[in-house]
Amino acid sequence: MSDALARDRAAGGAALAVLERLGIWAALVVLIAIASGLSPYFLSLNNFLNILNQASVVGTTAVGVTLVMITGGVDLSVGSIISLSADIAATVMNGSDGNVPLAILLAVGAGAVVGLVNGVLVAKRNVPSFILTLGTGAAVQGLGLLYTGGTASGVIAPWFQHTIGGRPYLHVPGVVFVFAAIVLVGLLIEKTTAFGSRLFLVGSNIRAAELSGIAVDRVLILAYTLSGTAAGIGGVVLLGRVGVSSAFAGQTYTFDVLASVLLGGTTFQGGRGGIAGTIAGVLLLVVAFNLVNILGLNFNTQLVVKGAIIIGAASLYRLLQRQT
Amino acid sequence: MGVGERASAAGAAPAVVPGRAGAGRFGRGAGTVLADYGIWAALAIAIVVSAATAPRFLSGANIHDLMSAMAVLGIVSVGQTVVILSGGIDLSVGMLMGLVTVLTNGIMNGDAALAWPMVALGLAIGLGVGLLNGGLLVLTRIDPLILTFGMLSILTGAIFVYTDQTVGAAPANFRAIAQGSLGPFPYLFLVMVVAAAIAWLVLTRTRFGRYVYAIGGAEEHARRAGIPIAPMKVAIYAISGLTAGIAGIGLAARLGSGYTLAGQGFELDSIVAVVLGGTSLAGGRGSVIGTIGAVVFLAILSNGLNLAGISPYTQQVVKGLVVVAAVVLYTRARRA
Repeated sequence: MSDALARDRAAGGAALAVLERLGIWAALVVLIAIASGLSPYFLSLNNFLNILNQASVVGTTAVGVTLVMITGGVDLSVGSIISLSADIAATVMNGSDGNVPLAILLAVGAGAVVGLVNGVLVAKRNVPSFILTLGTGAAVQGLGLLYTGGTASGVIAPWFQHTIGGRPYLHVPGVVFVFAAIVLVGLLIEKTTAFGSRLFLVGSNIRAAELSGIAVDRVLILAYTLSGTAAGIGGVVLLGRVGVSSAFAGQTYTFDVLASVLLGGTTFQGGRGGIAGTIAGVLLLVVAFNLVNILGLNFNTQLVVKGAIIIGAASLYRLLQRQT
Repeated sequence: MGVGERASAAGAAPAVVPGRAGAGRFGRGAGTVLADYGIWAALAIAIVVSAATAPRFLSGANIHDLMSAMAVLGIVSVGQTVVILSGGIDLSVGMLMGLVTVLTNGIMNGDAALAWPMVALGLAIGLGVGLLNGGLLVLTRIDPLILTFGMLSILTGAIFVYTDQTVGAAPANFRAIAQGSLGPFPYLFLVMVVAAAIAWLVLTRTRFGRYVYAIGGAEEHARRAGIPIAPMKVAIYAISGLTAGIAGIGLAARLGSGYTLAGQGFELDSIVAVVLGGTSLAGGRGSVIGTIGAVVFLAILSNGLNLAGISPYTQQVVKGLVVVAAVVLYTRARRA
């Protein structure tokens, strides 16, 4: 890379970052404005809480995947982890309040273990994360199916149903509290810890990070473990929202999570983006679906719109990048 | 301290790895020592173990089943190989196959006169979506994974806009595409072999093939060397769309009705086949022969586990672990 190019990139970098970060929020505001114009119901507090409720599983999981993608990797095993975690939580709970702490611990722990395996293989064996997590995802899904026999199993406990699945305080769904807490923790990790800034260094230039003395392996292992953990929590959130486990429930989430992270400006190249953008991406997708509903279009059209939004948003980023 | 500062600091840092941005998108440099021959060793082991544990494995009937079972995945994987060799990826192929399956069966609805027009329709849809992918990729310059993921969503929507249930029926002459044989070889198997042979010849014997490897190896270098990147990319994704269209016709004939989610999973299975076959996800190295070896291996693995009476759920675990093991073995445990 030439010096001139590097200088241009450095000068344009700050402006570009602002544009990129504002871009997704601007798109979100535009969508919200359109939706509010079309339906007076849209701007109600209740609908706002519904949107957060709908975003909770994908959002919780996407926080972890963002950390991995900042390092330049990807985690495609999260959908299977969500399923497995929901299965474990439901069966261990088995309808009794006393079992809830153990159930949540085992469910989230299972996610953390899968993430740890992913992380160790990526860090120590330099395995491409895309195909690796595809493989671990398939294996984990198979384990989940073996564990439950492929049917909904387990019974959720009354306390869990009331607190996580219900609206315990101020009419706010319990899953929204969990979602908010995970976002907060994620942002703190990303913005305030040494690990957070090392994620970006590893993602920008792994060789340079290594040469500057960063324990790259540890950063990678922690990132994937956190991603698995967040997906484990996502499974618990799913169980709270839906009330029953299903071996296939989580499968569809992988792509939604990936789309949210990408829309939020965390690219496959790594080294850029962050959790704040991801949350905007998650909300953008949910609001877009909401909008399609308001317009009276059916679920099938939502899929087309979703695809168009993904391609459109990615193209917009690319355009912004080229202008600098 | 914002994200932008970090990003621009990265931009100013010396680029250690030449060529593609970052040292590989999905993990870093996939050094492939075993990759060139590993799949053949795995294939040999799978054959020996299957033959030893299930005497029926080597029977003519079972081999015939194997050949027809592997063909659909084999055909779509040929196109996926070309895309991945060029440093891209195509996630839209599964739902493209699904769209062809639903539309052809839905429109035919048992009418034998429509069989050949539907073959043409399947090819046209495949080629059309492939050209669209390639065109959009060149126009927008976004990551092919995002683009084809968006297309996956759009195609899924298109399927469900057409129908939300299993529709139509294939007439006997259309079903013959999947059920008929030329001598001992099922038609679809022969289609796979021909597709793979053509791809192999094109990739190894023509300028087009050399360009594909060059773009996958280092796109910027290829551009500077005067390789016409834009038309190449359109052609590469068109090939992938076309093979997905052909595979979709095969799937439609095999199923005999338009099941909405018929194509789901073929995008990932084809990527698994390509990577198991020794082609690097970073592009630039690998071969279509390896992909076919991996397709045969996956079919034998599935067949062997079935004959041994292993449950589908355990099979899924085994397949996942095989992918993990393969990718661990293929990768040099050292940062490139």
